[in-house]
Amino acid sequence: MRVKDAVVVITGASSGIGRATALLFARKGAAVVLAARREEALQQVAAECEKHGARAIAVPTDVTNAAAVEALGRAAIRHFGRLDVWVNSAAVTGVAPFLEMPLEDFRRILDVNIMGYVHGARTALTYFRSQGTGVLINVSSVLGVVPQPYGHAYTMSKHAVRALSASLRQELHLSEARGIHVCTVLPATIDTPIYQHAANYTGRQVRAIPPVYSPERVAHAIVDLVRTPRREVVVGPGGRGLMLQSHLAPALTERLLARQVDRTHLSRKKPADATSGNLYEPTPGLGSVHGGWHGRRRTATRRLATAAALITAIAVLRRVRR
Amino acid sequence: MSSPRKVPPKASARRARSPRITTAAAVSAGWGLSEFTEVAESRVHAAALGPDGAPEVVCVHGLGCSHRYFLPLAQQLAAHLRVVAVDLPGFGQTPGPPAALDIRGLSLALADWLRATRRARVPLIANSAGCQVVVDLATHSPELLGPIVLVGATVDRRARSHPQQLWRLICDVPFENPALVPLLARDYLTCGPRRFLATFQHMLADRIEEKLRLIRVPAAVVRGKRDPIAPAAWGRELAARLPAGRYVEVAGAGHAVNFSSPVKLARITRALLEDRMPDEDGA
Repeated sequence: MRVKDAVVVITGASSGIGRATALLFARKGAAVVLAARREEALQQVAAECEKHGARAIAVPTDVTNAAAVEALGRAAIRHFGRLDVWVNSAAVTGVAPFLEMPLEDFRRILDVNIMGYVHGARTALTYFRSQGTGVLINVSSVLGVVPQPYGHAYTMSKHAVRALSASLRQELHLSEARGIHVCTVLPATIDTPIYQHAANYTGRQVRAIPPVYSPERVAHAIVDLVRTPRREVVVGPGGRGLMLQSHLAPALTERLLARQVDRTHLSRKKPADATSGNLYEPTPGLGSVHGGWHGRRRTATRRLATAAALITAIAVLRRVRR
Repeated sequence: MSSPRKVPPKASARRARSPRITTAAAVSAGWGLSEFTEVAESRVHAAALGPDGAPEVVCVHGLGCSHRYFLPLAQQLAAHLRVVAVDLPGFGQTPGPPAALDIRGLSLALADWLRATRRARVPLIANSAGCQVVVDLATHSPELLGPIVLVGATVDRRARSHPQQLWRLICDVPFENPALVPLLARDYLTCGPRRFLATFQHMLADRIEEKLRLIRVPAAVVRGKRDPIAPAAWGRELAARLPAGRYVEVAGAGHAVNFSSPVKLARITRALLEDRMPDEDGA
């Protein structure tokens, strides 16, 4: 499908991956319909999209409310006449030892990350089926393949999202809806504010596990999926490595990732007060794409280091040969 | 996958101006009044018949038609109801944009007109492609929907091609009142062959059956027993897919029940509006 002039709905558009995706679609000439809970943040994103010459509307939406998500779809149709792409990207997270996670918080994470996507998929597919065309993109995570400790609800929900996408693909295959595609995106660690927004009962600050990639990279993967739909796309070579590793040695990967989360995801120096994060109330403010984890700088540094290592290796090889 | 078309202009911007509604002596023989509304980037014409202040019903015409073939039905209903038959942009007395509107474009225009004339939740009676337009309202403006009567709804998903549809249209002619032929010939000429064909193409692309679950209001699927364009299996499927749908057949009638069997359709309509179960055969 052509991205220019496509009508794209993005949930979770006030920050992180959703926001980066909205801005990239706007730059590519799509009309964007922005959904999240915070109206002021959405208005800010809409203004940025319009700066790129795109048409944008902000529709404050809590994705756990099925009626609100249906209204979001109707708003897209009413303003732009069509709905071509739906990106489910609204997600929340929380970390705690299993028995210390309040049950209510656990349920809320599943509700936002799973039922929010279900509501989006139902609305999107209603319109896609009536048109015979459309692309539904569900943002999962590499944690939808390899689990993490302490973030049970999150990793469960991301596994569920992958399953939902696959199940929908099967159903579309059976009904021979060839113009409709369902794709899953599996990002590795991305530099977004989700870590600051997380519910946290560990007593330790949540940090991004390296290697960290930029949200723009995920946005590019999503826009590419609209052009060439694929089942699943991993964003970030680190994530791809982790997936391969878990295929080859699942038990070992499980243990290694557990260790890594304990050592780097949760700070060993900086304490944190117990908080339900943004589960029930959105973080105030205008929101942002990045979370201050220096995804771009880290990627650049990694690339530089890789290049340096390669050059050194070549130089060493040459010397040895001579 | 078909490439997306140009995004149409923002509908809300069209609604921003407060619409001007003017009435005039009927421009069409037999009707009581003509109403012109400046809305949806056009000057939408609607013909009305029936007592002032009576509860209203709105009629939505099919491909290439206009308000005119609703006159026999309007005359039957006019004792107790005010029947308003609207001309969609590009048809009858309503000018349309140079390029034919698709079903969504027509339904957005109909929604704008319903809002501008304060006719939200007024019962809708639609024939043929008009059914596709009315059903599409549910995708963007479900709050406008009142009870719905879908008469000879198109396009049967088992025959979504030009030759099949053309053949069925020809087969329908013997079952219609002969007076319909000159009336439609004039309406077809008004809309013009280019718009007719382009709209037909849009009709074939529209999958009405996938949208029916969005209609929460009571709806009756009516078809003439002899209607080759909307066969019985298709009518039953539509009624079954509607959350609050009923299926009614009119004996001896073809596709344009509103023109050829107005007495029976009027009876079915009244039954639906009084929330009675319309009887088989409209008896």
